[in-house]
Amino acid sequence: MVTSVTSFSRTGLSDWLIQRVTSIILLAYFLLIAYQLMGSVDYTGWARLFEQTWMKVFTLMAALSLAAHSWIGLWSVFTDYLTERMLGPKGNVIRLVCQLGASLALVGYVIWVVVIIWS
Amino acid sequence: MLTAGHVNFDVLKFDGQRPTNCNRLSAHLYCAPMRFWQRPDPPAVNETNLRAIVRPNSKDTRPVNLDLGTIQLPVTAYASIAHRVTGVLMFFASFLLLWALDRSLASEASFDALSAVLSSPVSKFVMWGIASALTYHALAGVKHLVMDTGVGETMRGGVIGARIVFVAAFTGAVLWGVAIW
Repeated sequence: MVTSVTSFSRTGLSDWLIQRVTSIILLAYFLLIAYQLMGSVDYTGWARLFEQTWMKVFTLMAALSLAAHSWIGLWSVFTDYLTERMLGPKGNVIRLVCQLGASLALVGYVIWVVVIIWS
Repeated sequence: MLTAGHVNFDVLKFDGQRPTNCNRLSAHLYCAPMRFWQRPDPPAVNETNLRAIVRPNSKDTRPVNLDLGTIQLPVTAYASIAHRVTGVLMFFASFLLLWALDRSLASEASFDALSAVLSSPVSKFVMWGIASALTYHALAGVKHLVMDTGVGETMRGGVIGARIVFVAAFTGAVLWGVAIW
């Protein structure tokens, strides 16, 4: 079995499943947000929604899903296009730098959401 | 090693017979199989010999087009590329969405300030772009989930699915435009 050190779960089958589970969580979350934004939004109603525990948990789940989903998606894109075949000898270095930057950004996104929701 | 994609041409080169160095001057002393460093370089792959190398039994001698950039892509390929492009866009857009969520919940004053920022024409265009990209990405993702159940896995099914996603995403983009402006 081929494993890859920079993929999210190190096996394609797990990545495949995680990508689909997280996609359903994100779809449900964005549909909820879109539904909330459809009507007129005021601060009190919006803040009250995010004060409820289930919404805080749902938002955190969406943030974690976003991080995993983006990692897997960006890994697929990076390993297809940022390669030595496409970019020459520097390809692997460029890909690992992009991978590092993306993973740091995603960790930052999750921490940011925690700060927004629980402060 | 002579490879193109996953095809290893080394196994096809000598038609099942390993070359020997018996035709060399030293043949009267020994007749051993040629070592890899003694073997002649394989022929360079080009459009006239590729088919013969990949399919040695083929009677077809027409040249093969190796310039992949000149090949017309099916609609499924554009759907896949657009799914990737919108996915990468959403990675960057997530920063703006998180910033907006932060401003909308920090205080009533920051909520009103955000509302003022988002009412400018540039902000509206950015919001429309993010909403449309997310709509396309979500619809193409749903198409993946549908195909995972075994529906629309054929070429014909894939083409129909890609067309449905493009039409639905275009309609969604128009509706987002109506909702935002």
